[in-house]
Amino acid sequence: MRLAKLQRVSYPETVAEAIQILSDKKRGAVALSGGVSFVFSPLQSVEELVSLSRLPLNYIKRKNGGLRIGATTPIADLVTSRAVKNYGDGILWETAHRIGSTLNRNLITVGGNLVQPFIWSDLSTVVLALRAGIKIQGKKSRDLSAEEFFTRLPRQFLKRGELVTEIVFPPFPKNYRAAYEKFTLTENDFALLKVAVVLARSGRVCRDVIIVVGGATILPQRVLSAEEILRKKIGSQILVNEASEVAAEEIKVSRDIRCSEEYKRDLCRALVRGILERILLDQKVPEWKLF
Amino acid sequence: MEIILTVNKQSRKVEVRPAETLLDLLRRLGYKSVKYGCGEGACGACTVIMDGRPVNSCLILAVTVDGREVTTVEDLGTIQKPHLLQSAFVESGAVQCGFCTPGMIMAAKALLDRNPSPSEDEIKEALDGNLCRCTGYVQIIEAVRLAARRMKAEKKKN
Amino acid sequence: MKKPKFNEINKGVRKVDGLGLAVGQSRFTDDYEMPGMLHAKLLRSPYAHARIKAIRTGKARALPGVVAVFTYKDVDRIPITTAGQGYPEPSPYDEFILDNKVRFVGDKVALVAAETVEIAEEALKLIEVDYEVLPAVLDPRKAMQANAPIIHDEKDCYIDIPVPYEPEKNRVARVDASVGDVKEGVKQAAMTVEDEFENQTASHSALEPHCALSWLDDNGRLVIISTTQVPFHARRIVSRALKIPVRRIRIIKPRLGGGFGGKQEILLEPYVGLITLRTGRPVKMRLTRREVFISARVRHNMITKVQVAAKKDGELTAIDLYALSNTGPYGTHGLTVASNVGTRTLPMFKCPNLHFSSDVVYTNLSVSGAYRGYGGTQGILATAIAMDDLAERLGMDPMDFYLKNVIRGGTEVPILKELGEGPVIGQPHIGSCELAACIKAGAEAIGWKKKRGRPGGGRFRRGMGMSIMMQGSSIPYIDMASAFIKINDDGSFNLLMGATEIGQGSDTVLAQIAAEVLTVATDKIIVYSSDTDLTPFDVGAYASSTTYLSGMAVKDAAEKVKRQILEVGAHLLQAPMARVHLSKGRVIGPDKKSVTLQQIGTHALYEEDQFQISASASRISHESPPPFAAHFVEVEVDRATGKVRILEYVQAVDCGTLINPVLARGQALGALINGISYALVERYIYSSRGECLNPNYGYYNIFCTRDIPKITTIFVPSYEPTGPFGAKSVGEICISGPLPAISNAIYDAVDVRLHRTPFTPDKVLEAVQARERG
Repeated sequence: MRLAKLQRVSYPETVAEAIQILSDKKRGAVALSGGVSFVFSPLQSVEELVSLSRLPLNYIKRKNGGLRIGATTPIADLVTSRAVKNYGDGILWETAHRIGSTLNRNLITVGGNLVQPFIWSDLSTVVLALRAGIKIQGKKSRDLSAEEFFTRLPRQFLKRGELVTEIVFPPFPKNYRAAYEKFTLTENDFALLKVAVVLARSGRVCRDVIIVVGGATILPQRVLSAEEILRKKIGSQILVNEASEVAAEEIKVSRDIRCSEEYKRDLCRALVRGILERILLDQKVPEWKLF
Repeated sequence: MEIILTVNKQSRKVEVRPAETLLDLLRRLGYKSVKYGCGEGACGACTVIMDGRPVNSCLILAVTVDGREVTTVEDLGTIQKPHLLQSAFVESGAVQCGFCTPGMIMAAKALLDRNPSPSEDEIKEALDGNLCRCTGYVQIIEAVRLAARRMKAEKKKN
Repeated sequence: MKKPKFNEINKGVRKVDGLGLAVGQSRFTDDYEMPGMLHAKLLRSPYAHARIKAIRTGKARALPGVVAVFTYKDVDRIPITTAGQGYPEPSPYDEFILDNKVRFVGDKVALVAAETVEIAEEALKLIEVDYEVLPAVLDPRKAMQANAPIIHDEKDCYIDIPVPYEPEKNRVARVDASVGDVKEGVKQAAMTVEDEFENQTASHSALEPHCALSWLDDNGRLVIISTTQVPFHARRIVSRALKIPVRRIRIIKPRLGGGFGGKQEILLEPYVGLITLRTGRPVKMRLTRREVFISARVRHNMITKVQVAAKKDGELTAIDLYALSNTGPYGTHGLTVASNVGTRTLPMFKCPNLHFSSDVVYTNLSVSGAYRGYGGTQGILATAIAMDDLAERLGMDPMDFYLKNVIRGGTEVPILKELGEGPVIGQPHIGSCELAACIKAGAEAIGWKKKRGRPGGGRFRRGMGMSIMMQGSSIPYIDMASAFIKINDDGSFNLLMGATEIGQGSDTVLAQIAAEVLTVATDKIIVYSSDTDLTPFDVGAYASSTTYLSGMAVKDAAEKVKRQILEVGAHLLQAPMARVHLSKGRVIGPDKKSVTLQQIGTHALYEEDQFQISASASRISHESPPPFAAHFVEVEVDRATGKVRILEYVQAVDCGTLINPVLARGQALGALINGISYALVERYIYSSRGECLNPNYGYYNIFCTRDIPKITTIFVPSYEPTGPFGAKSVGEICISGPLPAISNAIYDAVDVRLHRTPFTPDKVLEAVQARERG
């Protein structure tokens, strides 16, 4: 029988209680947030499921121009949040809005989407681009930068009893611009590729930039060499072309049954270039691409 | 394992198997309007409203819904007294084979509960997880608009 | 043309089964349960082509809860076809319910019946099979090569009709038909275009997966509730497969969750039947979505070659069309889908020299079968792109080219005599045809002349494309439909039909036809379809036959009932038959005195010379009047990613009288969106071993609400004299337009012709890049 060893489901009401249950080696417990990834690949040996649904982690808070988002917040709540829509040129909202379908977004949570890197885990790309911080609570609490968090698969470094509890999005200064694009076959499809770019501008000069490509590999990638080309330069079409070319060459691409590696590089070039033209060169895009 | 679950306003104490999904459970309890179409949250035929949100019941383990409140299309109306969404679906040609219809109506209901006068784009977005192979969606979207208009008119009357 | 006046026809009557479906009251096959019901599962092959050397089921049988395990050793070896077609089927008997050989990844190996689905699935894992893996045919182009592995090397496969069947060459069928002389036609031409095309395999994706439930009734007869489009064919095929007489089988079709041809296959009924007969217990078998993808049927992948030739002024002089059809490892619908590539394409043109030929070959890929469009989709893909090309080379707008060449109503079509599925008596002709009007109306609505040839500059380019298409309405001299109508004492009627409601609305449309004749509201007609014990024979829901053919049977039955009503009415009114008539549910006499249907029903059943006012009627069709359509599309192509976005789509359709305009529009829209989705995103991805790698909606995309473009559907006024109240079919036709219309629009936008479908962004980009490289 499937999940033959499953004995009970607990519903802790505090993070401390959840951590305590999850830390107990003997209980063989697994945490469930939205539960979607568990249904897809259940750990058959699990003895106890720890539903995080009653933890006080379902919130979106504005703080000093940034955002703090609780880990069990459903993606759907990001989509209906004015704070999210107004933050970071709307790229967090745009990302959330394009994760799966409305039905999926009601189940998938922010924490789950980051911790379980599935093909639909779109949040990681913007979380990395927006330089968010990830709060992990366990016996000891620790805060990781997105950069640190996405160096490995979360399940490789999250210790027993550790929970991602909050994502902290830093203030998004006035001179910053950001854009996100997800490329799919149908509107509710998994991404073939997604790109998020955040940059700091003064006039036409690109002060700083982060370019993140998701969907080429299971974890999001920063394309440092492309960033380097742009950093502290005056934006121009030649520069943008060069940066997108380098990004396309540079990214690692895992095998995907849906298209060739070359096509993913083509997409990377097109998406990076399109975004930079928009937010660095202020070029117009077709109306339907705006949200 | 035993859970207490409210289905269509009725509280029930039920014994559930560990790997059973909410979809399996509801069908076992006789709520046959909840359909299996793909089993992986991609088609929406199993859509129910759980605590106010439309969700894929095939993606939820039954053991984890203790204390939750679930609504299926059976709760909305009957043939004698259909919900305005249900009659609008029939009138607009939004029902062909009808297999996706219960899920589609639940997704639409959740939308209209939250947003009584949705735009066409908002309707499309709210129903984007409910696949339909018969209609091409056009008449479904028209049905939701029609129902929204009628529901508003009815509300005004009352 | 003067519009005839109707009461219940040409009216958006609510779907008679609609509310039950909308409130969740209706029961589909999987919603039925029987006490003590078992669950069945098939073990499926991991190899594209292999022989079972040894199979051990001991461990599976020993698992608690397992009731029965069957392998090929446990069943009679009877060659069957799963094609739910008329008898004798034009498909080869090349499949066995269980065999010692497997011919595709997903082919059946063993059958398990257990107390729960979970136990049945566990048991599958305990069956040990030693396979001798054989080389496989994974490319239809190589199927007929001399050294190709033979997929049906068994000696007992055969076809039951006199057509060539050459399994030793992996060839299921050949078609060759012509009128005039194509070579001569090409000689007369000023311009010739020759090209090759290929369409992909696709899943019907009916939302309801295939399911069947069987049990023994009080008298030990086998009853099967099933998701079938063809209950009577299912009964006959189960009878053959299980070697039991037809009289011992009853097939019931409850509400059905979409078919599109995918449920014109007898996939599960023999298995549940076998288990019930052997164990005496009820059993249910429901495919998972994954199983639907890998083991149910798909659209035939074809490589089509076409040569079209025309004079300087655009007058067509020759069309030569060839299709290499990949039917997969079983030849279900192989011959007929291939011949429809020709019959759904060539008759549209006033062209004296036509040639169509086809080879249908076995491969070890997915099993192909009937799919909405049925060959027409493949034929139109090739011809409509080639003609777009030809028109351009002649310096003509394709619209003008078509207007010059398409047939008008009342034309003889000699090619149909050569290509017909059944016997053709007399010269086949096409009665109603408003194709030219469709072209004009569609072009006007989308602004064809204004917008075409203006792609603009930059990354995003716009383009316009068009296509024309036709389908049929039933298979002449082969398809038969019948209906039975009886009156009740309240003046309502029961309409019992074998015609199969599968979501398309046939219960409603046929009730409207009965209601029109009987002059009552449609809700006075109580429809029941279909049950092989209770309803008279009908071939089922396929070949776009139901409205046209079953409609005529219903109309005839209603006319007969009407006569009996008039007789009783005349008697009650003490008036001669000739002086009474039926109007608005009353028989009216010469002095305006009248009796109601309720009085008549009650009188006939209770009062005097009692009898049941009732009648049945059967019809075959003598022709297959085609509906026609013209499609127009505007696209935007992203030259950086290759993504094609549909900006607007206009379809203009000639389907005769609209029995129910709301439902007819639903058919046209549903077929269209399926067609667009097929053209842009749907495809099977196979491994180098022939395994489908994307058997789920995560990786096999179909359109959702947010993908649909702006669509305009126009019904051009038309009247088909042979159809019921002037109707023709509308179920299939509109699926075929998008492939070529979109390809032509992409060409208008970015100057590349795409010949291989679907037009996924990677393919479009590759073509754009190749063009830029020069």
